Amino acid sequence: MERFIDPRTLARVKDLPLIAKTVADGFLHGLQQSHQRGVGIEFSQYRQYEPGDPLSRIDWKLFARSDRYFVREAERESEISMWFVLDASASMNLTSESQPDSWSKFEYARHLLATLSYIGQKQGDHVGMLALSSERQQLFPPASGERHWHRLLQQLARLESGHTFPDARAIKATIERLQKNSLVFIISDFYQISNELHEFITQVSAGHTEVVALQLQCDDELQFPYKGAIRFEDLETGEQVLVSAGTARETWLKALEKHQQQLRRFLRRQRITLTTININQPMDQALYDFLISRQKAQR
Amino acid sequence: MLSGLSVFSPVGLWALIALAIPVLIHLFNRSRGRLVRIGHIDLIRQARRLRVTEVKLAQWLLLLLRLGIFTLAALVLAGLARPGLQSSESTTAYVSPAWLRAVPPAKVDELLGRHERVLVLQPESAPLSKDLLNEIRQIPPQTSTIRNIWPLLADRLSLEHHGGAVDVYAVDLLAQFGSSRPALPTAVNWNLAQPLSAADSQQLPGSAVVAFDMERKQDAEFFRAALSSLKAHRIPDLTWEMVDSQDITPQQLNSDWLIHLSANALTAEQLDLINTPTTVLMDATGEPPKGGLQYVTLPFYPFSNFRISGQSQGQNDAQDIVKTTDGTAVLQEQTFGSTRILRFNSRFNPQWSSVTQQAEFPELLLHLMLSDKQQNLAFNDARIRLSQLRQADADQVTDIPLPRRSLQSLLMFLLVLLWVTERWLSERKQHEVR
Repeated sequence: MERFIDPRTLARVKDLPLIAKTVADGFLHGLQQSHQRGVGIEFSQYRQYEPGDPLSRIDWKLFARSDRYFVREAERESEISMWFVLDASASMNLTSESQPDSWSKFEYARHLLATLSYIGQKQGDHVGMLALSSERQQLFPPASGERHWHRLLQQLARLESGHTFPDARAIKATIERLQKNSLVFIISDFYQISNELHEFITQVSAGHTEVVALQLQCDDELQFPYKGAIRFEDLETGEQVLVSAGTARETWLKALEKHQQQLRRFLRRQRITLTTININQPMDQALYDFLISRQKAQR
Repeated sequence: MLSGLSVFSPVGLWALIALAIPVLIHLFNRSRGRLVRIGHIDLIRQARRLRVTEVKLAQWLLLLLRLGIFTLAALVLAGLARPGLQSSESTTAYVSPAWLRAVPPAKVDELLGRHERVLVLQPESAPLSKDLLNEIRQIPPQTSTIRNIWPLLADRLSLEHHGGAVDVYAVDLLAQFGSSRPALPTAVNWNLAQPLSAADSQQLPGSAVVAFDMERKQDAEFFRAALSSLKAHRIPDLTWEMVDSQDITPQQLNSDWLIHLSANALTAEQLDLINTPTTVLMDATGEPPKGGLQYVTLPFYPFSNFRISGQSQGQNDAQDIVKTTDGTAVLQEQTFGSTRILRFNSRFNPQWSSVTQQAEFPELLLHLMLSDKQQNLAFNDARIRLSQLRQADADQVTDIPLPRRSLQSLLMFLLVLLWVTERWLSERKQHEVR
């Protein structure tokens, strides 16, 4: 069940906080670390004790009165949800050919998602997940608690990637759920066929959200090590182009650079920072760098 | 042009079956470029697209190169050759330089009138004009320049396929023909001139008599073989008789050479009957000595062992020609008037010596029997007879391949060239795939 958690990565990053930036007035109040300080400040409600809840949270006075276990639930300091949006289109199936045993982008994304959500869960935040492909959108609504996180992992294990990224209009209702007080991580390769991904991001970031873009790239894309006559096939459209790879390298690298520039420009307009992760590099380092950079940006 | 090509060993053409190998490689290896899946095709779209033909071109080129290599290898094995030079139907005359010098100018004019092409028998000869022919005549003759024309003629005839008749003009000196004469691929009309006076040739011995005891018939046969060899190669006019030593007539005693193989030496009466210049060769009488073999060096006989007769000591007035290391005379010469007597103190018999069985025996015999002057004649001015020249008749020609020139070196060069190109192209392709 926890196959998406790499012990080494976890050991490295588990104590780093996931910090949401204030993107709107009064909307996010600094760090969401309520859970680590014990109970919340403002009392919200009692609920019945369930196995797994820490004993420290049991209201013993109430137990003395009613002879039943109740847990005090506090109003969250910052009522935000962490959404992990996973691009489940076919292009995420890309594996680095030069490193045949390495993960595909999708596999890497699942590990990344599992680890990030663990951190979120540990902070006491509500973590939810949305896996998007044109064929199906799998929504796992945000909630807190370790059990919820385990269910999320189960859900994550069942995910499959395929088809293209969905059109934003088709998932309008889903997007609306994301627009409310949330920190949205978009894990994708940021390849789109028309403009569907940009539209999605535009709409998501239009709400009360902070969007974090995590772009996955691989060595093959960055270095273009191919030579000779190669038939390149698009994972999503199936379109094939036959080129002499040796001469196409320069064109490819230029085109990739241009694509990245456009992406960065677009995201900057949406006030979104882009973090690019090479899936052929160790994940612990990438995640560590990502979290540290967010911490710095916060200060 | 291709139709004229032929192969030395058609079996080699079976190697053409190997052509299937590159074809199979091509069929199994055919692909239109390696397939690589990428996330976003737009990024590669601007790159120049390769047409399928461009990819295939390299593969087809490789196939062609490999087919070429195997074809060339098969042709090398089969020994591809193109036809030799083909002359027209005109008649051709080959002239030896010695002939040009030996004949009067009128003969040369006549020669030029009769033949459309005249070539001098010397390496790399081209058809000659009258002026050039006359120029060659002016070159002063040297005794050593009489060239063996036979290999030149054989080369020329195997290189050029003559449409018309071939005439060869030469002098009848044996030196022009050499001792080894391979069959000529083309029938040749011989025209032999006799440059020296007839008197000179008469100084060579004409008749020989081999007189032998009946029990030494085997030994006499060695002499018969040696004499026939000398007739063929040195003294064309030589004749000989084989007689029982009992029945020898006075006339036979007076032949040029008398070879006497008998248990009894020639008697004084018999020697008196000889009144013409005669060379007599006789070997030892009596029984073979008990002693072992003795080592003697004879001309042409670097290693020979002889049993020397004990009776030889008596001939003290004779001149010793060959002695053993301990001073025993092996060969002695005596002269009685015009008669030379050569005594061989061993015998021309395998039990005594191996002289007669050795290949050089005719040469040794000539050396012993001829005087120095005669030897000069025999070696330098020996004559040939037309009948001794083998005519290339139809039967002989069938075994001789038609004139053709091998293309091996050209084929090998092309083979190496194709191979290097194939390796280069193939390695390049391999490198690109990785």
